[in-house]
Amino acid sequence: MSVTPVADATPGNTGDARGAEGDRGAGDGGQARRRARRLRDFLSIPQAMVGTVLLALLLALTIIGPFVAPYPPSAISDTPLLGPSAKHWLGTDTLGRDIFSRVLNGGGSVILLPLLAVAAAMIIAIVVGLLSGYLGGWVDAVVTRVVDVVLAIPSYLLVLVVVTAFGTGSTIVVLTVAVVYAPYIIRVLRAATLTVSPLDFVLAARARGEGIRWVVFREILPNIGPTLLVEIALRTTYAIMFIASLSFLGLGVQPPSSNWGVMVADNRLLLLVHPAGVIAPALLIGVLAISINLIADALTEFFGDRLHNQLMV
Amino acid sequence: MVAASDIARHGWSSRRPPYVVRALVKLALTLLAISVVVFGLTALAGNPAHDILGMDATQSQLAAFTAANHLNQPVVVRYVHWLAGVLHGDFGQSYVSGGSVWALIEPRLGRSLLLILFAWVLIVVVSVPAGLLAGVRLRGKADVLATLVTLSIAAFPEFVIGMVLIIVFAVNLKLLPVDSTAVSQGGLFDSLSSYVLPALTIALGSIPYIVRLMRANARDVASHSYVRSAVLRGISEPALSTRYILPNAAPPVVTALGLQLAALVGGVIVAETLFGFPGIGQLLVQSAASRDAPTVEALTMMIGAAFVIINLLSDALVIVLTPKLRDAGR
Amino acid sequence: MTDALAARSLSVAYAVRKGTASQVLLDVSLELAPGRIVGLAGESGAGKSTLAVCLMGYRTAGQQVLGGEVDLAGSSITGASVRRLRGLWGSRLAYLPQDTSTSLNPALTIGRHFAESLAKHEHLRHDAARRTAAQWLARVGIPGPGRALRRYPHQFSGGQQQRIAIALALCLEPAVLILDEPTTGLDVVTQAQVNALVVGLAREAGVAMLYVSHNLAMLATVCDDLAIMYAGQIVERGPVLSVYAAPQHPYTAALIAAVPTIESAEPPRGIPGIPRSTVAVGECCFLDRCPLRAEQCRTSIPMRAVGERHEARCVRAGERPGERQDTTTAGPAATREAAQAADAKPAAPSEPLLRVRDVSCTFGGRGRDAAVRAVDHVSAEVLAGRTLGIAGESGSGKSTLLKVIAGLLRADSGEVTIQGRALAPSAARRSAADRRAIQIVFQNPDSTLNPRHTIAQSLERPLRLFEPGMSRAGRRARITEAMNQVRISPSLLDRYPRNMSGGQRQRIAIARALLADPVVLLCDEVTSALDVSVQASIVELLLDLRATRQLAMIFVTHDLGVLRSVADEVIVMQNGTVREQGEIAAVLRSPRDDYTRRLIDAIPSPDQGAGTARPHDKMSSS
Repeated sequence: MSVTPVADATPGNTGDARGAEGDRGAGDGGQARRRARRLRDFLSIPQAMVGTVLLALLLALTIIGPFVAPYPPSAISDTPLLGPSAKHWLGTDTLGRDIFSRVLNGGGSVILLPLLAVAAAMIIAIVVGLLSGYLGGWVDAVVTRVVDVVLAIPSYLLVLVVVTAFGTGSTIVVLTVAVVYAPYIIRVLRAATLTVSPLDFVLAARARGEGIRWVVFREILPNIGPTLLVEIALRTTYAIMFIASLSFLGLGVQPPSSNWGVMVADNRLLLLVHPAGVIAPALLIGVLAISINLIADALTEFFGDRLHNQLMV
Repeated sequence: MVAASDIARHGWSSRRPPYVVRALVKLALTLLAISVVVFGLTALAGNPAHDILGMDATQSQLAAFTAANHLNQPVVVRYVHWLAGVLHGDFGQSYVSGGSVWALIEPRLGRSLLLILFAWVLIVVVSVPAGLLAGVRLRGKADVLATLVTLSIAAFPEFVIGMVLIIVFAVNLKLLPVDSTAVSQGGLFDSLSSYVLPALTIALGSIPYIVRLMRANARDVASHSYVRSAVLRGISEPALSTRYILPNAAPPVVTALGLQLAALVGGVIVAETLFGFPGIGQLLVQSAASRDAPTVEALTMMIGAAFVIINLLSDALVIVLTPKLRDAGR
Repeated sequence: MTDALAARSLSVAYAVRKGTASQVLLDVSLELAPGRIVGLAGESGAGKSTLAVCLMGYRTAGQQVLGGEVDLAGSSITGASVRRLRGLWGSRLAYLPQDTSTSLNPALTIGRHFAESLAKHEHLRHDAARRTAAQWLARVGIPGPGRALRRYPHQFSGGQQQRIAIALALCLEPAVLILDEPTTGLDVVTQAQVNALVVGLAREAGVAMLYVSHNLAMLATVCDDLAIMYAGQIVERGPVLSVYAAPQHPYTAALIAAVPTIESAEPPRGIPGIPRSTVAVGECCFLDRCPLRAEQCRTSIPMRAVGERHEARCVRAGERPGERQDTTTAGPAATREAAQAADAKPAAPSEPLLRVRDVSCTFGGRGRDAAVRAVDHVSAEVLAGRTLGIAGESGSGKSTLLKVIAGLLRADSGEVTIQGRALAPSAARRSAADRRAIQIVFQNPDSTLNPRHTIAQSLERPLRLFEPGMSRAGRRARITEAMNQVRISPSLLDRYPRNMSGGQRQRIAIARALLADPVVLLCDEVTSALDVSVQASIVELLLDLRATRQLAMIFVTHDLGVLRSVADEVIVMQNGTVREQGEIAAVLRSPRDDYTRRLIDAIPSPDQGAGTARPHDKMSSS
């Protein structure tokens, strides 16, 4: 079984440096410098820069917003359904509350809840997915079955069932979304682990007698990092849109707390008269999702060759 | 869900029961598992009498409700009862209306199916050629632009897209109705113009994903050795796209189209709510908000079953399309 | 007689980015005559495949022709329009790509493949096309041609797929056929059969062929003229016997010396330095590695005629042919001593160091899958300080056996003992002493080291596991020493594997194994994924290390030539069973088993010259 020989020439050694991915630097104190350089490389991708800037702006808006809002968000400050004016930059809603102030206060749960949900999903998934992929056998079989069942139910349906049973609320939403999204991450992890496990350096580790924890967390995990990162960024995008949509449907946070998604639902009537009040929160949700999407795309490109070729599988 | 890889590993052999039988068995088991999960979750929440009847319900009202809905019986008994009913087409009684669940669902079913059909056709007709074209032809700036456009559409939640469509087509251009309430009057095909915007909204939720997938696959296949060999045999462009690239890039897309159905469900729910479309999506949201478990359970089972069956069919289609999988194991 | 295809002083570059271009071919001249096969040999990075594709007139993105041209029967095709080229491709100029499994469209039947080509050019349709296709399939030895037309590519074996691809390429009777590594990935026996087919077809149909390969020995049995490529240039070309017997370029001579043969125990000699991947402008491309280098080599070197149609790109070409052989093949003295010492063979110790007793290993058996007996009641022994070679084709079970010994796979029955102690089936359950005693090195240099760990981190692991008391400074000293032993500069310790060449990574893997201080080293096809010259240097290294450390080895490979210089005893495996075993020279000289004999016969022996790839083999589908 002859294999096509691999090119033996190396960029690093022939002196005409073209070293792969800037890791030529010597090791000593270089770790931090390497990380900084990698971050710069990442940000040089246009999508990354745009996405990060947008995200930063939205985060700033969410954090600072409540402090600069001209009116208390739930106070009825004028007649309902007024159009944009100097006094109310985005007009007033159906109850007479200032829309601009509500927008400045409405980012919190739209950004925070998805992040929590994805973080929770990630933890579940890493533990379950890594072990399942590496241990194989009956563990893997059971996990695959469970994942298949959860994936067989469209996410909206599962959330609706839970809401029917337990009512609405932030906690319920976060937990349900975490449970619904964990299987996707598990599947990606499992596939990646299955690709990496049979590779020779893992075999070499096993032959040395390294324990499971070492093999899984120090040999395998670092090599599926990029794949994992991209999937998580993607999940965050979906989570943002999902939770915003749930809020729009009235199945997200409980009143009286509000967020951009809820606002879109509440102010639908404005669409026909003064659309600005509806468009603003809707647009912000979109921009948020776009920013994460861009970052996810940039990550895919950044790790591009790594995702496919790094292990030259 | 029977994965194509399962087929590849085990083949259509005569030693094991044929693919069809195994697929049906897996289908039944999956549906059973779903029913357990769905019923279990609602049962976990305990007696919803309070939530439905309100804070100031009297004891006798609560007791009457409990009895009428058999809520004092053990969970397993209720489950078996319910399952038996479902298999006969009897979905029980709504907590809210007191009447048959089916009566609530029935009139809306046809409308939603029609809506989904429209959306589906739109998705396939737009995504597949667009993705193929993008993967094979587009390079450089055009490609980047196209990617940006698909990215932007994909980033907005369906209700935002829907609203933009309303503003453009209904309010400004006044071409189409603002909402779909007209659908509840007349026969199924009487107010087709009310279907357009909701269908478009739903389709735009999925199109970017399928286009991107198709593009990536087409790119991938186009760089494959056998495509270059074909070029070096003198095979021309159109033949290359249709006979070489499409058949080999299609299978993952077919699978994705099946899975995308899950997203479609969400799209239907959101679009129906946004447009006031009197379909099962709207019913689902209303029932969930009013804690009407039997209706939600019934709808979930129906939609879930449809989803599983369709994915099974798409897996089968992938096998038909891929000669290698057709007789794996020979 | 005009050449069917000729390249004249072709120079090609690729635009990399922002105005910088990287040159890949320099001043390449080549002629293909009808009915003759020109072999193009070289290692990876030499530009062989690039040249093959350029000869087709195929332009990839960013490609620029800097000079020269390609002529098809006298008229230039360089810069020809895509329409014109598409008319030529398939009908006048044919190409057989490298990877057998993906040269055919998995979604089309064989019949459709033929129908497409035939209809395009000769306007043959339906029945006429079917008949022509079936005839060609029969000609290349596919059984049941009629039925075969209705089948899909994946239903044929690798060797059959390649025959079909050859038939497809030739069915339009082109004047020129370019074959790019057509037999890579096929086992030795199939290789020989496919090569015989190719030679036969060239003669019969009068097709001018270019056969590209990295396998010099095999190439020499197939082609009439041989061209050697290095760093984007042709460094020597001429009639095959002339070039092979009396190479005039130092690189050619070194390459020939690096090829392992079964005739002698003399180990193949590696070429110092690293193969060049960039074109050298203004100096000799082999300058940095040539033992004969001199000041006069620092200029652009033209081809020099040294005989009948034989030319070489060296200022010393034509000088004292016999003597040059020796000076260019100076290998480390230690290696030759080691080889002589091995030949001198001390008395074998009585008690085997490692013993495999009746081991069997089965895969599958779940549901429909028939259980595959990967290893079937195999017994073997390794004596201290000696090397056991395990030879066999893919699927023979040799790698599986090695993994069982290493504790990575569980055997169904039988046992493995070391120094008399029974070994636990799983490495995790073995004692530290047992785990240290047996170390394994794998085949693929790209996956043998964790890409996310520095070299130092990878090398330290065995020390941290087996010598927990050692201080950090102590470990550093040890791994530095290990790097020196495998002849890699310790300054590379903090680099990542992706910055190292395949040969270097393999050496590091060996160093890692040796840091555990084993008594037995298991080598699983460790040279198979490397270029010939790199292979040779790894073999040299192993022989060195073996001599200095008194190491026992089990060396698994499909290449009997390598085993000849490395192993003392050999076992030949096929389908999980041992077909033959014994002392290596004896087995190779007079094999008793049929399979062994077939394996040995299939090994190309270039000394007999061109076209000795036998066309008489029963055209059995492999």
